[in-house]
Amino acid sequence: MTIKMSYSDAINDAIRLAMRKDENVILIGEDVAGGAEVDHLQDQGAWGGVFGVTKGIVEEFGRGRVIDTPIAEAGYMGAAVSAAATGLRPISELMFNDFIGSCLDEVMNQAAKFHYMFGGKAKVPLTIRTIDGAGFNAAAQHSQSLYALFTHIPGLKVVVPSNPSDMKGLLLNAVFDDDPVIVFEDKTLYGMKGEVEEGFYTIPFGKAEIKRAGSDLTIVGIGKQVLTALKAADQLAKKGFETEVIDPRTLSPLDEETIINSVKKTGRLIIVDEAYPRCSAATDIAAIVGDKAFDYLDAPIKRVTAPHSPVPFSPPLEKLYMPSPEKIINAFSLMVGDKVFTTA
Amino acid sequence: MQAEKKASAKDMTALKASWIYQKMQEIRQFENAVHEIFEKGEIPGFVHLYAGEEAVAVGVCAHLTDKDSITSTHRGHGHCIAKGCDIDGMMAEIFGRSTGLCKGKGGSMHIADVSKGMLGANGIVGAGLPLAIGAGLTAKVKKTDDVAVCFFGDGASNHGTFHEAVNMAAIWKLPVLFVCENNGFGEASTFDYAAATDRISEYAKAYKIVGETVDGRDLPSVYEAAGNAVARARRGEGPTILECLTYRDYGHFEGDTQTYKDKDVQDRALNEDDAILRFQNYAKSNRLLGEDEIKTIDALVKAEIDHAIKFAEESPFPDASQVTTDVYVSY
Amino acid sequence: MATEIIMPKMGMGMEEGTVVEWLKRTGDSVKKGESVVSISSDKIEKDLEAPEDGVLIDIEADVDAVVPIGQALGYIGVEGESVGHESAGSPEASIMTKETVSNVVVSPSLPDLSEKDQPRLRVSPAARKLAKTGNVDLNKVAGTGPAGRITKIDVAAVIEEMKRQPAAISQPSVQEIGNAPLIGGTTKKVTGMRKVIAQHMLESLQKTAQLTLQTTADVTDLIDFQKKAREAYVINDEVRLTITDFIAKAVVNALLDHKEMNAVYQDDSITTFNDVHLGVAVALSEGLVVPVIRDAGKKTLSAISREIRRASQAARKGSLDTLQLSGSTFSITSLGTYGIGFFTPVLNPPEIGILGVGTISDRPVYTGDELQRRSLLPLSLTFDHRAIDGAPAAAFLVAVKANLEAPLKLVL
Repeated sequence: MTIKMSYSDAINDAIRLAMRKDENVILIGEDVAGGAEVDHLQDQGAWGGVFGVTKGIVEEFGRGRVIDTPIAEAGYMGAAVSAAATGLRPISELMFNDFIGSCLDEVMNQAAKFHYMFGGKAKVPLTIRTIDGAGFNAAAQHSQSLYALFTHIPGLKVVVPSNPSDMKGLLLNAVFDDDPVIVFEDKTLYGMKGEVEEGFYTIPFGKAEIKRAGSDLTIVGIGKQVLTALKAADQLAKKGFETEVIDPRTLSPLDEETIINSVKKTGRLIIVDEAYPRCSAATDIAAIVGDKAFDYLDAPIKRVTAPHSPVPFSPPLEKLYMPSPEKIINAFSLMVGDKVFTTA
Repeated sequence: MQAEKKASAKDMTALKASWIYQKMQEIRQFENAVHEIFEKGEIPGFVHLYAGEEAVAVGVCAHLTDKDSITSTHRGHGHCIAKGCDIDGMMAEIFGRSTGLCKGKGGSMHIADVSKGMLGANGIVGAGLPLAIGAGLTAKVKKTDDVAVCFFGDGASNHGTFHEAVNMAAIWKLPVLFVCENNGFGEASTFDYAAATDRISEYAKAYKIVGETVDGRDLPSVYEAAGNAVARARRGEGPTILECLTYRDYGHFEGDTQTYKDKDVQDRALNEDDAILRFQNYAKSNRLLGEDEIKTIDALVKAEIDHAIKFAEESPFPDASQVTTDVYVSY
Repeated sequence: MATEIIMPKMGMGMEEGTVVEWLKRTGDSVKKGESVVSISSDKIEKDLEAPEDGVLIDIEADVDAVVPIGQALGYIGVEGESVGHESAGSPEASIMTKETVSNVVVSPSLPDLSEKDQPRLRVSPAARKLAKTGNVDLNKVAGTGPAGRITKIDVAAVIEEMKRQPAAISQPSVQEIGNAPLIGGTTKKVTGMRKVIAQHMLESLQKTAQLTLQTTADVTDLIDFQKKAREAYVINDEVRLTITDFIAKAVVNALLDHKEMNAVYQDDSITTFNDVHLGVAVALSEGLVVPVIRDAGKKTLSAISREIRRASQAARKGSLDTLQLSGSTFSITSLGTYGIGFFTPVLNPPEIGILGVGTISDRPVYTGDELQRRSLLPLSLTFDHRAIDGAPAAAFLVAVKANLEAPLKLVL
């Protein structure tokens, strides 16, 4: 039984289900409830997170398990890491992924390394929820998509859901996974509606979804860019080219097999990623395919990404900054050398 | 709330004193042995020795159980021993052997044993402070009476994580004891130079928690202050900053020429102010330990350390497959 | 903005050049004026210098790439800068208007290779693999991808065609059966100057009607004279007359008297020149270059001597420009230092004559009835029979011989 639900509500639903299922699950972060110690609010929240995603959760579970923190990312992220190592399953919210600079040590050197450094004898079942994505004119310090930074670090798992249903299943999987997981919530998708299965379910990591089958071109979209890829695929279909669109859903682990099998079929690959182009998920996937499917490539691998520059504020600039169906089609035309596309 | 009886060093039993003395000796002899073996080139990597600061780790951990957690620093061997980590496993870990506490994957700076509540030595200055409040948070959420102790140096008190963690522990009244081992040096820079405050315990005032400074070379002082702080934490009265003034007998790391040290101060620390010597005198004068007992413990510890070295030397290096295992629980 | 390193035009006839070697790698810092890439035209190899300080941020043309003049070989910029002219995700691409986007698409500014020789095939990995398994010669496949790239579909089409005509393909030719496989050896791709020489030689032999006349000049007196002349000139350090200088002068003088040999055959016409621009071949490790002594007919022996020395030094340093390497009306080449006597020089078209100079050897020679020890110089004249007949060619060669045998006239 599915119901129509927003991306934001899917997150809220997943957190409640997780907290009901296991009392060791706590929600911790800046204003995840909001309004702590305001007399007239008592056990009510003011905000439920800066975008209201966790609204209502404190009312159900109380401030003992929905914990507002000072604006001190290193402090509370470190606490969440060790709370995980000592028996809780914290869901720690890093309000914007851009703030990782204030607590990277806790994620990169502590959470990611405990299990390995301690010879497999410690585990850190921590879920970090964080907000990424450009498109809201939030400028350079609130719009980045930094999943590549975490994908780079062994010991972390990286989740980039592109729709409400995936978000719910992947977030629940994250909470009950025994490794530290970072889940990226694209802020521009919070209002996106989709059919979501009711009740508890999980989606395993490392399993890509083929959103659309095709034989002429493979497009791998990262997070929200799956949607851009699907739009481009529609336009290409009108020109007679069938595009396979793949949503990897998790960047670490990465479902290499599904991507490589698709490229073996189509011989052409475009990766669409709104993150910076260098040392990114796009370059990583390009390298893997170049390595493992070289003989199947019938055209250079193209990456449609943001430019190597910070996210601009001004709305027209930000629009130019982002990948678009037109850029994807232009990239494809460079691959096949078909001038029919130049007017697209 | 009922007024609790204050802990006092005078309540120390002979049994406790014997445990304390053994732990102090284990740390001292362990570190002296590591110092010698490192010089011979048999130990890889960075090594930071705890010798001289034994009274702090032992005086605090004397009040803890395996359910209590500690976080440590890069100078963590003493905390591990005081918290009950296996000495053979520690030595093997430092040697990078498969039988090490962390299978040889952590080394001197990352010895851990979660089953003993030892959440790991840590290569990052200041990292242990937020981790300690996390363990405190677990105790609070799970409503246990476990406490978390954070050992950190005077250097870390200048780090942002100290202030973030102390503030959070204070506002949430977490069962955490922040134990500052003020040995006068952050690496090669003096505490006087690097810190604006004269006393790290003074920060407690600003955070409205209890702060105290004791002679960290004097075991009874540490024992008594830590006993009271741990008891407060278990009663839900929140965190304490306990500053222990101590001295680092060796350099910052093995190989440090220590040109920044005052020779007179060092001489005094290594002789009349030596923590172990002082505790021997205390235990004898308070009839907790006799000379024979001390000699027996000394010999026992020597045999223990010799065994650890032999164990480490005879242990194999980890199998090649170990490079990529334990990265994830599942992947 | 990144600055382009372009394929320069190094002579009137030059349309494209070949990348021989990149002296810097992507990411290397470069100083203005520092050599970045070696290129070769059909005449010359040359190092290109960085147009400004910066970092080599991109290499567009790899080694062996044949690049039209004016096109970028690579880019100098600041560290971290991207060139981004082709990636749809690059900064420039992102801020492009629709119009400029289509510009980029239409003009990956690659030459239309389909109408020219294709020195380097552009083949996709998938096409290459399919060609290998399908036994398809990629040189015979027409690429339909961008800039003529051969893609999988192109190879597949050829394979289909082959299936339809099995007989023609499946029977190996007699020659193929006879060829034993070559095993071992070191294979080096023919590139740069070697490649240019290969093309020139083949063209010379295929497109002219060349043949060679041979005679011997008695240079006993010349050698004697050269020794004396050297001693006489010893006060002037710069002039050290060599036998080569005398031969050059003897040829120049002969050409002035036999202008029909001082000519070029081009576009079905023969152009005869009044003055002599003499090419003098210099052997380098990379191959042969032929610097030109211009207006040699107006120059004295010592002036010719000086120029030959300078030109050969410049050739060894690689600092000759194209102008100094082109425009000769006749050439001299020598294998004398290798002990070769007569040989068959190959014409340097459009010239119609080239004189091959062999090694001098002492032989017994009858002068009248008397047997004398004489020093003999073998001369081999190759001429283009399209332009000149045997008799006038022989007359020219005899004139050269006569000039060498009367050395005094050469300095007068």
